[in-house]
Amino acid sequence: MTRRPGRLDARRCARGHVSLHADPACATCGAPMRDVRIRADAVLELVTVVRVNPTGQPYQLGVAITRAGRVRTICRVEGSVRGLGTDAVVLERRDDMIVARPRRR
Amino acid sequence: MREIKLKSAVMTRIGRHDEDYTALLAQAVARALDHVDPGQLDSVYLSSFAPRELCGIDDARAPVRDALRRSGVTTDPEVHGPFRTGGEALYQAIERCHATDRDVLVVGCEKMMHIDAATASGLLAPRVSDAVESAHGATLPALAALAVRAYADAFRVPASAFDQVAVKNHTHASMNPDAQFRTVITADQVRASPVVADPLRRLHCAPVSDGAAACVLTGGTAPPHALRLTGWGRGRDAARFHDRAHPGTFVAATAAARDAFARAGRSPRDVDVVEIHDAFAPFELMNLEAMGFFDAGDAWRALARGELSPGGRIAVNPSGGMKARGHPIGVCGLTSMAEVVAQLRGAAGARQHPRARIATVQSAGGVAPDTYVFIVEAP
Repeated sequence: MTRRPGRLDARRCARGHVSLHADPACATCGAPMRDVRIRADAVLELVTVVRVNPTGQPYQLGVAITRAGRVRTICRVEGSVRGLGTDAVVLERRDDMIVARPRRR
Repeated sequence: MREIKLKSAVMTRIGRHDEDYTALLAQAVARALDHVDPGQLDSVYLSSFAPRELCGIDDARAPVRDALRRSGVTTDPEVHGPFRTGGEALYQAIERCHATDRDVLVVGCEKMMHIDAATASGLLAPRVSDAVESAHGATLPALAALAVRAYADAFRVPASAFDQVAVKNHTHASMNPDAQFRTVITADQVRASPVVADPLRRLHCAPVSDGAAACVLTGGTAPPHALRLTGWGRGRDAARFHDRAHPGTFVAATAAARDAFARAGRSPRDVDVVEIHDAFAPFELMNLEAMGFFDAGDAWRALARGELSPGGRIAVNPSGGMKARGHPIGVCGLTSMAEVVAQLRGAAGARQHPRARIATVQSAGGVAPDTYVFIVEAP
């Protein structure tokens, strides 16, 4: 769970690579990672509606890039979005997933 | 460096097979070794994506040893693998050919159709995407859909082009007696098929299939009519799709093709026939461009002009590709090799590309994080 609105738990290695996922080592350079907090504002780069899936219920899946640090992540998407780099979203952690929802204006 | 030659390249019919994994694999091995001295066999490289998950086979090398015995191999050649793709097994086998004068067998087998597609998808899910992405519901078609959206948006490729890839490959498969789908389809049928993950519809997606294929390579002596494997290359991209800086571009295919063409002293302009990764129809266009056959965003125009069929500028997936020839996952690089060998020998029947002398095979898994490219030439 996000402990403070607008912030998200993340992991950063000594070389500055950031991941939103619980990687024991950096996926880019293999260095150890430590916990950090980053801003949860992001832009939704891609989105698709997954209609055929094991749950039987459609859901939106996307790739988002955080505004601070430009960290890319896979995410579930809620709400009405267009995708393709035009949607401002807020990321939050829910269960084991990153969820993106449109930022309120 | 040794010259690598192809002594044989064969495949079974693709589609539903009643025989079990071992019997299916044995068919391919027997045909590959038909005109080869079994005493000359140095080693075997097996490709099979998920024999444990799909068939409950814990050690997939055991059926290979059984097949070798049935084919009269009395020595005990070392069996390597299973590798996840035919391309990976071929690549490893080529490396071995540089260290021995004897023959190297590459064989692939997959049995998928004894379980329904949804169950197969569930069993394969942990093997086709990263654990983090899988936890978010990133099925393989979902990741493919994201890649296709990025590609279509970046290069302004119309969705109708993706339908035409499926139409073309079904037309090619209708002329291939070993193909799983031998019926021609229309663009309207593609557009009417259910959405899997937009923009991908069911008829953009390759099926699950049973099938086996094999080939024999050698760095030693070979008959004068043996085809030459003049180039091979490998490329990699980020294992996690979301880590890719350019999600609509297959950089692994670019690297693998550059490596293979450089080794062969060839360029994409020299190629007559290409069998390419089209597990999702738009991937054919994306891979053609990534490998240098067309500029980015241009392949669909050549498709629209009819230049990608036998008799055109370059025959692309004359077998029908994974889309319509069929998609026994771990076998596909080898089925592609069997097709280009038939083309270069002038033995491809109704789908023969005239005067085919140089061919390219691309083998990749999933959303192409690991890609292999091979150049094959007539003697």
